[in-house]
Amino acid sequence: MENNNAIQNGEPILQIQDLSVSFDTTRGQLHAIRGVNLTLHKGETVAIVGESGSGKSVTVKNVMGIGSSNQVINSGRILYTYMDGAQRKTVDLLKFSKKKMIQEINGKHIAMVFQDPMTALNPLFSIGYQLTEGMMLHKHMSKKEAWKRGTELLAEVGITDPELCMKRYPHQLSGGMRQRVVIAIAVSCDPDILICDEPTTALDVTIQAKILELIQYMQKQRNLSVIYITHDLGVVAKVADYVCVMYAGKIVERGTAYEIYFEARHPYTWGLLLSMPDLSTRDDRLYTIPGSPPNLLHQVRGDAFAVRNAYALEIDFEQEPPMFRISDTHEAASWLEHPDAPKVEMPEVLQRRIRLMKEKVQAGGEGRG
Amino acid sequence: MAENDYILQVKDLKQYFYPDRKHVVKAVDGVSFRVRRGSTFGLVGESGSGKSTIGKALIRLNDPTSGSILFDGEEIAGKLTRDLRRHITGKMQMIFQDPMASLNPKKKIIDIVAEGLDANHLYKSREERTELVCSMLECVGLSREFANRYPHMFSGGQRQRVGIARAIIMNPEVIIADECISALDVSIQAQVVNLLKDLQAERKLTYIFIAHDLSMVKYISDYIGVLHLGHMVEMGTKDDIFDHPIHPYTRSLLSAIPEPNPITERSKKVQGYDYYTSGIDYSKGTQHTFSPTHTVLCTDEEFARWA
Repeated sequence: MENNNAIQNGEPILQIQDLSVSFDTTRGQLHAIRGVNLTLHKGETVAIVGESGSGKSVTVKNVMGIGSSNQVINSGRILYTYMDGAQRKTVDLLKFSKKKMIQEINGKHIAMVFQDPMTALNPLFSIGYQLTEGMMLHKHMSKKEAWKRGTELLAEVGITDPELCMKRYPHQLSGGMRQRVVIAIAVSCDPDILICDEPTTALDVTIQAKILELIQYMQKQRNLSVIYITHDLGVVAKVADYVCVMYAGKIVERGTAYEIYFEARHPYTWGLLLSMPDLSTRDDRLYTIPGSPPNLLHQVRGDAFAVRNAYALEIDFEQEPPMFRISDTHEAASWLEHPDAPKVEMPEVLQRRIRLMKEKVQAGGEGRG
Repeated sequence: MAENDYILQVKDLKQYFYPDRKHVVKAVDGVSFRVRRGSTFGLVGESGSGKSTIGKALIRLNDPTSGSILFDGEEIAGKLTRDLRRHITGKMQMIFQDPMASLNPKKKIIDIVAEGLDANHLYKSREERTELVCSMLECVGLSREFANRYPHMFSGGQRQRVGIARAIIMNPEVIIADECISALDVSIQAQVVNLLKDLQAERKLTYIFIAHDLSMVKYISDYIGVLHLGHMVEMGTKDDIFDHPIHPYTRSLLSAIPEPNPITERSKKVQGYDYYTSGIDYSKGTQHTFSPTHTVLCTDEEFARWA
């Protein structure tokens, strides 16, 4: 085998196929994920957006093999392609045992940054200990080497005086610093995929921007493929190449960031975009999506979003919409895309807002000073 | 402008903490602002800027170190008499950030919401109590059957509505909302903010809205105060702050707001601001008036440079 066998940018590295997961609860089966398809290409960033309970965290937890103990995987495959020496290997992560995941995949190939850096770090151990632990295990470094490498990593994530920080404990650092340490730990074993589960939700705006810039920098430096999970569409706009909108355990729309923000087709995506106040909003009320997400303990009939959807057609209550292809990269699961469906435009307010945004871009970007 | 237009007047409020004998933490160091009756005053700033401390000092969860707080013309910063304490705890209410942590998991919703009524004996019979609570639940968009449930049976947005009901039931004049939407999803945030706006219009409430999410603050507030390290660095109407920010800290805060526009957002660089290297000394600055509604904390020389 030659080395040009290496995975090139743009080749699929992680493919989630028809993943369906339910939980055994005292009140019956809860269908948390109902057939998710997602492909992550090398060097790209995919963002999964959705409300709490839409199943975004459950999806990526299964990629890491850290699903909860009462979950049942009904169907699906998670194919992960990686280089084992010079050999290209594709494995189904769902077939791995928890122990094997921990030994071979987690940290080494797929790493995760969690929402709350205080709970992600162990308060009883020093930063240095937690940072070197993975490198000693996965990369068989000596303690001395790992310590040296750890200090370099801390400097790379922008911590001043990394030597001192190595000896500190999590409670001695601020929230932003802690998240930097968590990122340093995540990239310490040179993973291929970085999963960020709401990495900045617990942080302030200024720190948030810095952490996002740091993750972007790390991605460029190491050619990582990144999956973001978030409910903040502003964050998504900053980082994502592709966006998947998730609702009630399904991906309802996917496309490039441009397509989702400017040419969204699914009414749920419209609702999400509208409920976010943009800085030019002068309206009296914010738009809200009526109702609440469906209870997934019950079987969903038709489109799960139909009851909250002002544009619902009769068929939405009967039959689940398939993914309709809009462009090579853009798909939406809405019957409105069917050739026989009545033509529905996105809401006026949203159209106006998008027009304003586009004008602002043409006017030279930064309008505020 | 008549004096009683302002329901709250805070002057040179200082709140120091003494973690041990050698150290002093100046969480709030000389902050002054006024809040007009029926308006919303937004307090923004990063964590550690003292915004929550101000909220707590106003409602007297903390005892201010010095300074004056006039609430409805009455001084409430000093020692409180029993009557005065009862007056301010009734007329000022607080909504907290995390609706799970601020609702007692062992109590039913009805008992949580009625707690203020119980403490002040504001009902004559059990039936009246139930009725008051149920009508309040309906007022915040919850169904009256929820009264006998426990907090864990609700979603985050519903719990926050319970928190709002508990605050409103005392018929307060001022509500201090401390990061009350930060823990919620975007679409739920919009619902809660709309509810707050409706209640304000109905009941002529005054809000102190503490948050770090500037886009929501802009949406809900009439006046905004920007806090940093215990100092009010800039204060003005929301248009003053968003359209003509003067202080470099405000500018850096504004540049950090993520916008739902992938084209501009990708190329945007956040303006950094580091107090310790910027050469700005808050304690040297005085309040400079840029326009009648807009003030900035700076020295004369800085004012000439920034404005």
